[in-house]
Amino acid sequence: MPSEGGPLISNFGRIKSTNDFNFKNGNFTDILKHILNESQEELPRIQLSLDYNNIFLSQTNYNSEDFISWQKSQISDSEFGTIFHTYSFPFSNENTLLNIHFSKELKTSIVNSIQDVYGELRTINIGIFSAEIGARQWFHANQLESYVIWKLGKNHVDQLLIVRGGEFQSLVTLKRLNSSVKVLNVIGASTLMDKIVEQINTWSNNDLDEFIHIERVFIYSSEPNSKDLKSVLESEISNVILLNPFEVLDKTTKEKVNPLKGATYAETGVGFRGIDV
Amino acid sequence: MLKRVWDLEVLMFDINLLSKPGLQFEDMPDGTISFIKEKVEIVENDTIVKKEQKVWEKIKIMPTINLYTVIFIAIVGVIFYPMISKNSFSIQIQSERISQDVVIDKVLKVILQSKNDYIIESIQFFNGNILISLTSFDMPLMKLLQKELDVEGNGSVRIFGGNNNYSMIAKLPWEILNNNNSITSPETFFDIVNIGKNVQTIISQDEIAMRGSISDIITIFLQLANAERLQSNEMVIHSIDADSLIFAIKLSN
Repeated sequence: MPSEGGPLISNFGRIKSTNDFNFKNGNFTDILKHILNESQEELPRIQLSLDYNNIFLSQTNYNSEDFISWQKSQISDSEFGTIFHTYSFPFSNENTLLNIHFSKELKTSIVNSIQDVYGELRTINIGIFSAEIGARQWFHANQLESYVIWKLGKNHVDQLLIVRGGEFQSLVTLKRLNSSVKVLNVIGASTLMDKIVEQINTWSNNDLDEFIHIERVFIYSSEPNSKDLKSVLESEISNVILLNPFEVLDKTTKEKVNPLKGATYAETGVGFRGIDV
Repeated sequence: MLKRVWDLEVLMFDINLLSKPGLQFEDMPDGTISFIKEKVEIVENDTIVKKEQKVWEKIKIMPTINLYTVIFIAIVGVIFYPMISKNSFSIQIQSERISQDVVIDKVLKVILQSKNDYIIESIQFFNGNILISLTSFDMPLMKLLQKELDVEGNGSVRIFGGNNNYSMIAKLPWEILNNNNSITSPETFFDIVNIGKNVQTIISQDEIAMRGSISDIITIFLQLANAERLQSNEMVIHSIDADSLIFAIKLSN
């Protein structure tokens, strides 16, 4: 809720979904009803951040409608366009595109659920991109020359979102192995990514004091009690900051939020888009 | 410093999967979908009903003389209605009508976007109206189309259905011009239009039907528009599959 001192958190928490939860079978309505009952909002306005697993990403190296159309016919069958919406975002050089493929059925299910609760859906964003908005709104990351959002995931599979000069540089998926780091996927430029991955490798061997080539690293995990997240923080790397919104946001309750637990809310960043914190 | 911060913000991807798919620009409108209004409308309707009840109660207690006045005005209205409707009313409706160029532009967009997002059941060009019938399983898209096609703002676009299967019926103003420019024979039609080698054609006594890709059919459509014959005859467009359409033009007698 708005207040004189900026946004005020009136309620927060987790909802345990049923085992068979799936957006596509309409269970999202029950979750929304649960949230609305808790929040007592009469006019629910919702901003949604989807887990990365609900979308597909690809990259197009040439920004031309003809080329995109040709490439689409090469990489996908005719059914693809009937199943997925594709959103293409030009990189700053405008020659390369980040493509987000989003299931039409999933979008319809989400909208139907919002209709069920007479709500208003303002945004559908995606996990780490939403966390990046949070880094800008809560920690003023936009005033930094460069920064990384590092999401520690399940089974040591992490994501890095690298920003330099206010521009999206790359989105990296990597797996931390026992003695090395394996890059699974890169969208965008690889120059800065190589250096950061190398330093993550150095950290995994307990030998990193500071990330160089990058001004700040915002770190979080959506997993409650993430041992990996705790381990990075205990390494006391000088320019690593926990992306914990509760560190900067006021609440209506006096309940103290454990920083690691607070960082599980990092992907709520999209809800603060355009709000002065 | 503030300017620099602002610049940095706009350079980041502003992801909103509610917006229209395709190439995303910085100044794209957000795609907020609201069902709040519908709920409020129910409340408003209750208010209207209550207001109507109050008005009706007032009417009941009107003095007899006022009732006679109402009857008198009604009789005058009935007697002079034909004169009034021919003069001022028709002029007002004409002035509010949107231009046929805008309508053509809307119809072209409907055809162009049909490839992946929805199926054109039919687009019928009659004298008076263009009737558009579409189906899709994408409700947000249907809502966007509804907004796009409701050019007169009178709600002449309706969405039906449920369970991820939606239909839309839209009505746009259209006029078939009776200016001796009608296409009366296949020869006249093929003088104006070069249909291309990939278009299949069936010619009957009163109709020319063509089957081709969306781009082929749009080319024919545009050739008719350039020859100023788009409003000469009744026409129908149907989808066959994601890539092809049938376009039929009814020959005038």
